[in-house]
Amino acid sequence: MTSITRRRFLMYAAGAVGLGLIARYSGVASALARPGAKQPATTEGGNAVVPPKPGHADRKYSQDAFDTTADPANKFGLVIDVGACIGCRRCMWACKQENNIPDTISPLWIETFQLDAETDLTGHPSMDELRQGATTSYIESPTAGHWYLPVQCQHCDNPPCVKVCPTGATYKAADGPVLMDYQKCIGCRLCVVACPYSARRFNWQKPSVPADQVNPLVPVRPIGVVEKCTLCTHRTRRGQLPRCVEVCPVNARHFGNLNDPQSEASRILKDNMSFRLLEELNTQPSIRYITRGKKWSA
Amino acid sequence: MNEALGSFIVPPSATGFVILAVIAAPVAFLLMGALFGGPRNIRVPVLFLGVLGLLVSGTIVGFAVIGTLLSHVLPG
Amino acid sequence: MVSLTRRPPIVDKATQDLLRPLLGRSRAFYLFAGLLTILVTWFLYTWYLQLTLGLGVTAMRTPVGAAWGVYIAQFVFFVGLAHGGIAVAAAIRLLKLKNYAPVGRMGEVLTVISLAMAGLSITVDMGRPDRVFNLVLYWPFRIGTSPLSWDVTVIIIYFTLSAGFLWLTLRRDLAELAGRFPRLAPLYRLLSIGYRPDENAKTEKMAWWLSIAICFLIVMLSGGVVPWIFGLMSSRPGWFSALAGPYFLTAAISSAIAAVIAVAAILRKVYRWQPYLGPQVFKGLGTFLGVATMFYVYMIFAEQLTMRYSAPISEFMVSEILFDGAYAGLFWPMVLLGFILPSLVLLGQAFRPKWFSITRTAVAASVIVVAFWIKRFLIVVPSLLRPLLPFPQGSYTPSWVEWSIVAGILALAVLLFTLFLKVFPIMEIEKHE
Repeated sequence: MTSITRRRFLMYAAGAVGLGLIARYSGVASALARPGAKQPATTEGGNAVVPPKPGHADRKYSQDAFDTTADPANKFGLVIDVGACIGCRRCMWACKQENNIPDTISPLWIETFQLDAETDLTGHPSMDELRQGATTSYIESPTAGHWYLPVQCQHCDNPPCVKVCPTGATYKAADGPVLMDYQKCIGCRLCVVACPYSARRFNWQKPSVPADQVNPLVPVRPIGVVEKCTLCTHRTRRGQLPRCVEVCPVNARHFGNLNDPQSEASRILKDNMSFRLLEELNTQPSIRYITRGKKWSA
Repeated sequence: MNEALGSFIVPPSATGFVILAVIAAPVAFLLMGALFGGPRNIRVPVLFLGVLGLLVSGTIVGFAVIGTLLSHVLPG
Repeated sequence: MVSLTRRPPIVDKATQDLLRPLLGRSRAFYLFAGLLTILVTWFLYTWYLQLTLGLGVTAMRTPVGAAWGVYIAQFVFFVGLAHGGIAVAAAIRLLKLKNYAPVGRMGEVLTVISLAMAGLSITVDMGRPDRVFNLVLYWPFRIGTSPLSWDVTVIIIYFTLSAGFLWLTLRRDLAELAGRFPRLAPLYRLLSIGYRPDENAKTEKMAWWLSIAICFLIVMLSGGVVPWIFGLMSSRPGWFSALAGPYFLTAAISSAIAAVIAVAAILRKVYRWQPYLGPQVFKGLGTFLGVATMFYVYMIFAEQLTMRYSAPISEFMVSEILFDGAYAGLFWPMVLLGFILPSLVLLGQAFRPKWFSITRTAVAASVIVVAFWIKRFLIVVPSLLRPLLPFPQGSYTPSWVEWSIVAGILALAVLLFTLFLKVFPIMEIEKHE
């Protein structure tokens, strides 16, 4: 072996290492420096808006950057009364407005099934519905012989989506909800596949929301990332209700801190038998369903 | 708060470490065998390790390079 | 000091024949490479479209529809292919199967290229491939729970060891041929750096140890972390099964051996290597393939029986998609004509040596490879079309973008293999001791 080639080899090696260091750090830098999301402004009602926390650039797309910090003493949960739900989907559309969900995301974060009330009163879909599927795109509601089951992210305490995420883009916040850091998401969709409730959505196209309709409290997502219900942490951590709970015309949705026995959700659960979807999968959802109040009949 | 089910030996958040250990330990042992076993030779094992190192770092650098390149193509 | 003369070393006819790909380029080669380059260019263009317009240009959708489609199917397919080559090379060394030595290197090259294409297939499926470095950045925090992190890790280990193995076993031939090919000499000398003939014994021993490591990794990769991305998901009926590991492993070994047979047969024909690649190699590999494929059919049977006998409705409905639903037109021909028929042919040849023909073996192997590509698709998609909650049944037919990208990546694999052929010796030069 000649010494010329050995020298050349060492040059190549040194160059490769140098290039490696440059690429590594430039890659990281460009991954962190994303074009900015909309800067928040004051809302129309004059409520002061908490600006995103300064600091690490990649927090721009995390819900946490737009909210107050999560208080681990809280454990937010939702109670949905399928006896009262009339399937009007006002919750779905209000959620779309509130969370800057673009038209390219379909279906929306909340999906409502129209299920057959004649054959199955257990609060679960019937065998035929599990076989063939049930409609989520009914036109009129409520109609006789049906009950309505709204499904969104269940904010599980043992979330399969959080386990499988290879970058930690989805995480369980200290106060209960399962949230997204859109900056970390690489769009692999393993979480979409892992979720037994099919609650997660993906930005197959670049989302765009008209500028005058953007809610400055919620990040506008970039292309190619997963999104889903956030339990409106930008509202609930400021003492407001999630938007879906606020707009329900028949009071079928109840929100509260499950750690607080005086919260609305806790009080309702004390007085009603409740069930959770796909309980046997051990996902421990934070959303419970009850069937109190009159069942809808024609 | 309900705890996720998991055996007390392997909590769910450490499953990956067990899997990796099960995979990496034999591979490491066999690699040692490759480097030190057989006829005495310093040069080939050193060169081989160098190539392995180049490949691994090249892969990782490659990730960064591809990422940087593609970030100019994707629409934000 | 070794003399750097331009005079080619004296080579015997055998070596001359084995170097045939390196000695010139025919018109057929240019046509072939040209066609592949066109396909690859088309792939790059459609990938660019997909990057700028988003993955919506595919037929993937969620929750009604399939969140994963042909890209992930192709990823699993390529990881599987990546085993046969190196498995043959490893078997040659561990079981001292000298007869199979001629196909050793082409198998190793097939492995390395397949792994690279597997990585490309995954990258093409990501929503944010520009953030692929996040997989490295957040690895320490996610390796505890994420099957995808495990996957990336083991694939990188496997790729590194396979490429290292290829390099190790290539050095000697490159060092000996450097004088013969002056234009390639700088590349050969760089890759065979530090080579001295007295290291051959050590290299052989190292290759032996590495063969064991690689065989072990085959099981842990194709029978481990890759199937566990599917088999651990209790959310997906049809996927959630302990069978996933052995199932994927059998598919990987079978499809990979089939690919080695097909590639070896083609090269044998094109470069007139009949004297060097005798029927024994094809007989042995063919018999093994026949047994492995039949074993896989048994696994399909066991899986479908379990999904139908007394199964939850969700499992039954996924099986129905294959038996009687949208993909029945794929499933039944695949099982009957793609698996059972070719494996019966191969086993028949094993029992009746008179019936044996290399062409028939190669055709059977090629059919099996295609059937396994279809099978990967049928593993990935049907379970996604029938979620646990009563969503309307979805459908998935790949779009033209997906077909372009799939074909392009396959073309790229073939192109890379062909380029390797033209630059490096694909058959081990007979050793003059």
